[in-house]
Amino acid sequence: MYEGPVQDLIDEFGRLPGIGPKSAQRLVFHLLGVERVDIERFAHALLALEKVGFCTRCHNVAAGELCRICANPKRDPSAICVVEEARDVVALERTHEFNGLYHVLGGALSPLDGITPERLRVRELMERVTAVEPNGTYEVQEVILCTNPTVDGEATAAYLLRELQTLDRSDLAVSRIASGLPVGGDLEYADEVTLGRALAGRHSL
Amino acid sequence: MGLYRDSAVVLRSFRLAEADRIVALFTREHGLVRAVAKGVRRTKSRFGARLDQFAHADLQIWEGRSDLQTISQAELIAGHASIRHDYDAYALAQIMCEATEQVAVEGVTNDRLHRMLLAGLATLEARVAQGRPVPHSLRPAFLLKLLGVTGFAPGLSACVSCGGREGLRAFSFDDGGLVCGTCAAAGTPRVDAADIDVLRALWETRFDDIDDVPTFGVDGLVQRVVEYHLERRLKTLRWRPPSIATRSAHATG
Ligand SMILES: [Zn+2]
Repeated sequence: MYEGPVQDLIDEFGRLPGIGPKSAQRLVFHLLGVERVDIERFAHALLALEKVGFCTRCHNVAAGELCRICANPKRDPSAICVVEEARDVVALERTHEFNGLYHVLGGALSPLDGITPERLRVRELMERVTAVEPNGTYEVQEVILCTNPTVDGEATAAYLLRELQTLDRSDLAVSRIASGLPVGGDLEYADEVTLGRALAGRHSL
Repeated sequence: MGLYRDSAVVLRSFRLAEADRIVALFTREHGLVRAVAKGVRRTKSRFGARLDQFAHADLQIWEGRSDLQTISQAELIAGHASIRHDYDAYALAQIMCEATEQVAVEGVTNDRLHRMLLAGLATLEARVAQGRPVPHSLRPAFLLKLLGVTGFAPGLSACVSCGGREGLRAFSFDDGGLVCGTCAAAGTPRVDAADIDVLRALWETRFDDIDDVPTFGVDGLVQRVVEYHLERRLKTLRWRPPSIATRSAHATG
C-alpha cells in the first residue's frame, strides 16, 4: 500500500480491463515522473469523457445529440449499416468504403447470457427503417447487416433479416457483409467453415 | 495427465484474456471437458471456426497439472455451420447444448447422449441447409429423449403406478410417467388422449422423421419434467424472443 493519492490512482487503473495491479503501479509511477502540463492534458481528456454520450439516432458514441457521422450532411441517409458495437463503426470507417449511416445494436443475441432482442436496439432499427419522410417516401432504402461472423453474430443477422422481412417494405434492400478468407492469407491454412463460406459467396468474373 | 485424442461437440465458449477462449466440450469418451483454446480469437488462429459453438471436431487435448486442459489441435468433423443462419434452428441448438452441459458429467462417457446430441444438431443442420423449416416439435422431442439417455425414460405405455393401460390421464413427475385416474394423486398435471398420442409419437420418432405436429399441449409439461429431473431451470428454454416488428405493428395497427 502506498500513500493516499498514489494508491487511489493505482486502484483506479487496476479497475480497467486488461490491467493488473503490477501494470497499474507501473503506470502511476510513470505519471509521477512526467511534466505538470502532460498531467493536465491527461486529466482534461478524462474529464471530457463526462460530456460524451450516445447518438440519439444511431447510438454511436457522440459528443452532442448526434454523432459526427449522423451530423455530417454529406453522408447518405438512405443506407444503414448495422453493427454490434461502436468500435465496429470505427473499424468500418477506416475502410472509407461506406458513405451511409450506422446503427449500433449494443451487442449480439446470446441466449445463455440472457441477451434477448429487447436488450439490443432492434426496435429502434425497425423505427428508423419504417420512418416516413414529409413527402410520403421512406428515407432508408438499404440495410447492410454487419454483425460479426461469429455464431451469435450470424444468428443476430438471421433474426434481423426475419424481422425486416415482416415489415411492409418489399422495396427495402437488405444485404449481409461477405465473409471469407483474410486478404493476404493462404487457402491451405483456412479452416473448413471459413473456406466453405468463401466458396459459397464466390462471384463471377 | 498427458495428451489424448477425443471427438467432441462444442457446447459453448467464453472469452479468456485477450485472445483465448474457454471451451465447454462434450467429448465422446471423456464426457464434459472444459479446455482452453489459445489464440482462438485471432484472425490468423490455426483453429479458425473449428471450435465454434455446435461444431463437431476431432481434438487433441493436453491435460497438464492445472485444472484447465488445453486444446492443442482440432480437425473438423462437421461444422454444423448452417444452424446459425436460421433463427429457430439456432435457438433450439442452444437448448440442446445447454441441456447437454447440465446432464453431462466430467470424465464420464455417455455414448447415447453423445449420439443424440449429434443427431439433433445434424437434423437442424440438414433442415437449414436444405431450406426446410425447423419443426417446432423437435424441441419437446429432444427434451423427452434427453430424459431417456440420462436414465429417466418416461413411462408412456402404461400407468407407472399400477401397470394398467386404461384411463391414463395424468403425468406424475415423481414416478416419471403416465398414471391412471385411480393412481393420480391430487395436483398431478392432467394430460388428455391427444397429448398422450403426441408424447408417444415424439418419444418413438427419429429426429429426421419428425413432422411439425402441434405440441402445444405437451410443451410446458415436457419442459417441467426435464427441469424437475435436472433440479434446475434452463436459461435457453425461457428464451423465446417475440417478434419485435410484428409486435409493434400490432401495437400501432
Ligand atoms: Zn449517429
